[in-house]
Order: sequence, then C-alpha cells, then structure tokens
Amino acid sequence: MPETFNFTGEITPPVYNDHFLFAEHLQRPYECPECPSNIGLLTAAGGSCDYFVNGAKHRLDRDQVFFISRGSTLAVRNRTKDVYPALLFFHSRLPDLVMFSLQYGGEVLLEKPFDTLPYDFSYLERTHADAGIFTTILQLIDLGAGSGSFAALQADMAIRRLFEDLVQKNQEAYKHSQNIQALKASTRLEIFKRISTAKDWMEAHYQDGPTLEAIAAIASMNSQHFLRMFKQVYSITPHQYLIDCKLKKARQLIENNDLTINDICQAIGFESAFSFSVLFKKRFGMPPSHFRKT
Amino acid sequence: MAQEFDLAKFSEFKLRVNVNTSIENAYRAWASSSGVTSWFLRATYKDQQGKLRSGDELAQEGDEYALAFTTNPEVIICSGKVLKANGRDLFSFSFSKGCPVTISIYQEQDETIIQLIESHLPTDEETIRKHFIGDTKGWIFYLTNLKSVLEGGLDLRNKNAALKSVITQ
Repeated sequence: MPETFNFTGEITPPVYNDHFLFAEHLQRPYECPECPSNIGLLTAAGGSCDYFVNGAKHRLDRDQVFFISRGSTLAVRNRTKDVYPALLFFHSRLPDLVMFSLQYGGEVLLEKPFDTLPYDFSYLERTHADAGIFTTILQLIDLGAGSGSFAALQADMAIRRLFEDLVQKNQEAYKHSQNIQALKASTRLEIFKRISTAKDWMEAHYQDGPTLEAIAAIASMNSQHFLRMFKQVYSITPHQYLIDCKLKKARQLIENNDLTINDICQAIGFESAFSFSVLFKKRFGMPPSHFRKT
Repeated sequence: MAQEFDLAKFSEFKLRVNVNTSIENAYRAWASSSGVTSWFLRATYKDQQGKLRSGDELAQEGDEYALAFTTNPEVIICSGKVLKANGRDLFSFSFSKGCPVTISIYQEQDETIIQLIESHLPTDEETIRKHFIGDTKGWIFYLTNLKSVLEGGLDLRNKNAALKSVITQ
C-alpha cells in the first residue's frame, strides 16, 4: 500500500500516467492520511475496510465499491488487521477521453480539443452494491500477480470497459439530476446524491416492504419532500419504483427457476397473483409465462 | 563505460517461427476467424457494413475484429481493425494500444516462415513494461502454439476455465 496517494505533496489531485491498482492483504493496522484523490474505485477484497471521503466514513464490505471523484479527499484508516483494501485509480486522461469519445465519436475526437472540458464525475460518488465491478477488481488483482499471456492487454481492456460503463452511468445520473428544480448546481448535486443513495437502498431492501418514512430517512429528508424530489428526478413515485424492483426480480426468477407463479408472488411480496400478472404484462409487454424457459 | 539505454529499440519487436505448412495455410490461420480460433483466441471478423464473416471467409482490409478467450467467450479482451490483407502473404491489424502487428509469410531454406512485427509502440516506461515485454511473452507462446497446431494438431492452450494465471492462457 502507498504511504500516501498524493506523491508530490501538492494540494491538487495526483496525476496517474497509467491505471494504478493498490491492493494488499494487511497483517497490521494501516492508516493513510487525508490526501486529494483522482477518479477511482475503492473496495475491500477481504474484511471490512474503512475509507474516509471528504471526511465522511464509508465502511466497505464484499461486493461493495465506492466511486471516488477527482478532487475529493481520501483517507484510509483501518485499526484492525486482516483487512484487504483494494484501490483502483484510472489513468488521469482516460475519463475525459472516454467521456468525449462517447459524446462526440471517434472522428470528431481527432479534430476537437478536449482540454477545455472539465467533466464532472461526482454524480456517482457514493457506495455502490455492484458484484460485477467488485469481481472485475478481483480479476485485475489476479492479472497483476499472474503470468498469463497478454495479461496487460486483458487488464487494459477490462479497465476500459469498466470505465465506459461508469461514465455512461454518470451521464445518466447527470441527466436525472437536471430534473431537480434548484437554482444552485451544488444544491442539485446534493439532493441528487441523497435521492440516489435512497434509490440504491430501495433496490437492496424492496423485499422488506419499506415505508416511505424509512426510505426518506436514508436520504435524510422529510418524507413529503423526499416524495416530491424522487418524482422530480426519476419521473415515478418511490412506491412505483419498489413495484418495478419486484417485477424485475420476478422476471429474473421466472427466467432462471422452475418456481410456480404463486411461489414467485409470495417470494417477492405480491399478495395477489392476478394483480401481479396484470402489472407484469404492463411492465414487460408480455405475460409472465412468456419468459419461462422451455 | 556504461552503454546508453536506447529507448528506440523498444518501439518494435520482431518474432519469426518456421512452420512446416504452406504459405496459404499459414495465411488462413491469421485471416479467417476459424483459423485464428484454432490456435490463438476466439475470433470474429466483421466487414465494413458490420456483417459477421463466416468462419472460413478471409478478412479484408478495413474489417473489424474481436478476440475473446476460448474458455470465456463472453469477455472480449481485444478488438481492432484489419489494416492490410493482400489475400496471400501479408496481413496487418491494430493490436495493443492500437499499434500495428504485421504478419509476413515467406519461404526461407525450403521452410515457411511466419514473421510477426509489432511496431510503433510508445517508449515510455509503462508501455515498455506492460506492452513491449508483455506482448513479446504473449506472442512467443501463441506463435509456438500456431506451429504446433499447423504441424501436428496438438493445441497447447489451457482449456480449464477455472485455472488462472498460466502461460498457456
């Protein structure tokens, strides 16, 4: 692990001329003081790891990743041993290059300078429960230590794909955030971060039937204010979103299991198989039986 | 007296392998997706209209290609463009960092030589470490496997998807 992420001791984020993956199974407590960060992903390949981003503590476990934006401050403080922090920082130029190429395409990229486009990547800055990204980071750790042919090529491709996916999510998040009627951009960003954190939480807890008050508490908002803001951002109510989460899970179960429709209704918390079928057809355009694998 | 470190030497490398086969067979091993898949990685070629070429069809200049591990075809590890394809003995494609890899096939001492040149590599420290050294190691194994497959049919690649980090992958 590095002594510090800001090698030069300057207050600006460090510049990485290539991707950097720091990963170590720590046998003793470890601390890295608060430093400016570049764009990256933080995770724990083993144990629970405590990261402090802009002063706020984020404890990460398996399958969780924290997307950190450039300019944010980062500290690592782990007072216990047997923790396996893993930090992936992207090539400093990559974010702008990828963002620009997605926006304008390869041909324009050759003609248009991109230095004047300071893209904001802070819309994703939070903890994401994403087993796919987590697994990719584990694979990159393996590739770095391994002896497979073309390991660097494979790693570069994996990082590029990972980042393109993140940039697209950031773009979508930015578009959603623009629905918020707020005068100041910083207010809009703060509201968006709270709403999207609550949305992530709903995806993890929809089966428990959470109340509006419980969800609003995750966003640290009054329930009526949260309801209004959620609808502004995603154009549906939190209740409709919970139903959507259940329907998506139901479709997944239908496609991959032999469970009966009644069993699936019970598993995801629908009381009536009839209303489930009606909502399912409305959502996916086909009845549940259509998605059953023969 | 210490010799000066010549970075320019790291901008390209050349590897040659002698193979007991015809020039035509050797060319097909590079320019058709079934040929490439038999000794290298799972390959697909698409023409300039985006139409997938059939397994034995020869790729043409301007085609796009994608490569995946045979053990894990879902994960594309490399993609690029066919830069040159003369249909006989010269085939070139973009590879690592978009740099060209050029395959020339010719006779020498009554044997068929397959010559690979990876060129235009940047000479910064990271590229040298990752791409010059990494690609040289990778190509040496796969060119050996190409010789083995074309001469005797023995495929040396790792076929166990659960087994990681071996030089045959």
